[in-house]
Amino acid sequence: MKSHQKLLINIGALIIVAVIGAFLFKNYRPPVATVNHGSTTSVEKANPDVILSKTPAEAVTTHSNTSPKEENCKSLRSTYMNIDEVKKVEKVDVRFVNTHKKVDGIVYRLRLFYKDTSENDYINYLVYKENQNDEDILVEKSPYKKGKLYTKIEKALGEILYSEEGINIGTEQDLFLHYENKVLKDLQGVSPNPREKDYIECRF
Amino acid sequence: MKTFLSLLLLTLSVSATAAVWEDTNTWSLDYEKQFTEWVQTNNVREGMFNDRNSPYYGISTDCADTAYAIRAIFAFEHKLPFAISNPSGSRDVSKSLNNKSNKFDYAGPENKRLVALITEIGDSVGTENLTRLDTFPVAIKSIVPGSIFTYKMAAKFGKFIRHTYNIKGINPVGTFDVVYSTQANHKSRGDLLRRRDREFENLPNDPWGFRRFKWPELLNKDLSAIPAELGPSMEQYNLARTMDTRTFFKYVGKQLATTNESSSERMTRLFAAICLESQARVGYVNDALNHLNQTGNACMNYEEFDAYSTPARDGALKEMYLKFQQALSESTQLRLTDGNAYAFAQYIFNGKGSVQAELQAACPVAYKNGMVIDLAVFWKRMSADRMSSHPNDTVEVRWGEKTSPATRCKRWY
Repeated sequence: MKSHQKLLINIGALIIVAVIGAFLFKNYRPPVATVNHGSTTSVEKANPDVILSKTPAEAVTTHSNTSPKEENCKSLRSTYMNIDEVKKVEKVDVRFVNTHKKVDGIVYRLRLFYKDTSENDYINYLVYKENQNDEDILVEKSPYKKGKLYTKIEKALGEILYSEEGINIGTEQDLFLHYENKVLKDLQGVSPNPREKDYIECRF
Repeated sequence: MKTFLSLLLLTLSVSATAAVWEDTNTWSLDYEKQFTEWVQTNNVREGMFNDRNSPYYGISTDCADTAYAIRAIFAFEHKLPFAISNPSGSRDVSKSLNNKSNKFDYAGPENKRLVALITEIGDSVGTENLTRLDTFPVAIKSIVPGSIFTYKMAAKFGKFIRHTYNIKGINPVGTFDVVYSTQANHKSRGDLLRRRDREFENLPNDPWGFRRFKWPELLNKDLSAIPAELGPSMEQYNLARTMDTRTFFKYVGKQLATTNESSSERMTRLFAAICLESQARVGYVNDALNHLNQTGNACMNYEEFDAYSTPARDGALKEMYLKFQQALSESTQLRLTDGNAYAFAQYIFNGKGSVQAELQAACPVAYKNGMVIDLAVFWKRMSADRMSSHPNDTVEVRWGEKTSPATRCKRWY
């Protein structure tokens, strides 16, 4: 190979490296801000856009002049962000559970909830089957005990696509916690904070 | 020909899937006003689901379902959107269960699809969903016909009872005309229940209390998103923390009243209320006795006990008597002692006067063949805790005529 040919190859290689480098540099972004059970990464604090994209109430909690209610919400969120931990340490009354599960290519929705009576309430188990439009078609209703299909789908191996749970906690069962995919979405009821024994509603 | 066939296929494919109903209007303050007016009309009545001539014939509801049904029917009638938080879970596209769904096509024409939608709501939610997800709390002054009152009260063994009343009207003295249903009523496919002069006995505690439905676009939004004209407010909870039950509802009554109620009128109203509920107990107990006849007096299982026992209803009735007793005390202090109801109250609570015959004629409680008691006897037994709420007890023990032999069957709660 002649020397001018080598030179041309080297120049070409340099140009390719430069173009790739420029492309990578141009498209570089800081790591995506993630919300993990209510706690936020430091990137989020540095990026005001992340804060603005949230609901106003939550966005305000990152400012220094937060109201007592917002502070309380923030504190409660931190306390109750992990549903599994809550179930270990609190007296829990599960009010409803929805689980969407893909089994053999079909998506089923299992629902547990309570119907009210004059003197009490009673548990109900429902199974929905999703059609081709992702609509939930109610296919089994079973009061008091799990139905056959409910039991079958519950035990079957499959992929959990979604979970939702509403629980009451406390001796008076007066604080309601609502989780979607194990993330605390909202809470309602009497604040357990002894300094502020007040009714509170927070959405996250 | 090809064009004709294509058009035909297109038409068939369109008609094959349809919304429960098409909404062409949008919720507004004006429609809320119309809802309030509509609830007060004869459209909303005891037999609205059972009268064969009713357009809503065939719907069967328990307590929370009734509220959903009334709201859905109004939306249907006025081509408004209707949506509730999806009971089966809000994954991706299925954020709500609403009138746009075509999954009720199997039911047939539009009115039948409405019935199917309401039936599915009844199958899949209770008062918890209604209270927590689909309605918002209102200021006292914003309670109107069409609002609901939900409560959660402690029962035995750490259990809680939840219930929903639908406010059909507000009486001039600030009491409520309510329609509602119960699980037992739902099972027997009875008419909706109605109390024309109701005062409530359960203090609001967040989120339970006076509430109104959220507009579909406001589901999952907090109180600040609700139009101020609809009265979104936590006022009732803050007030309830500073008052006892009777004081709170007296305050509510005064806020909503358009006329002043005299002491005598109040006594008469409270007497009518305890009479109605005392007589209603005959029906509850007889339902249990009839069931025992069918099962050969077998011990009731959890489900049967649930349907036929009366501890909460007995507790609520006792509270009504105590309210009547308090009204007597207040009237006596103010020397406002006119009227039959005052005389009846004196006889019931203090044994004073000689109105036994008049009292029994005014409100006889005939709980078994040949046995009629007056409200003084009723109260004497109830206040002494002689009346049994256990559905396996004999009629005599249920009514406190005897206290033994008590049933040995399990008390489930």
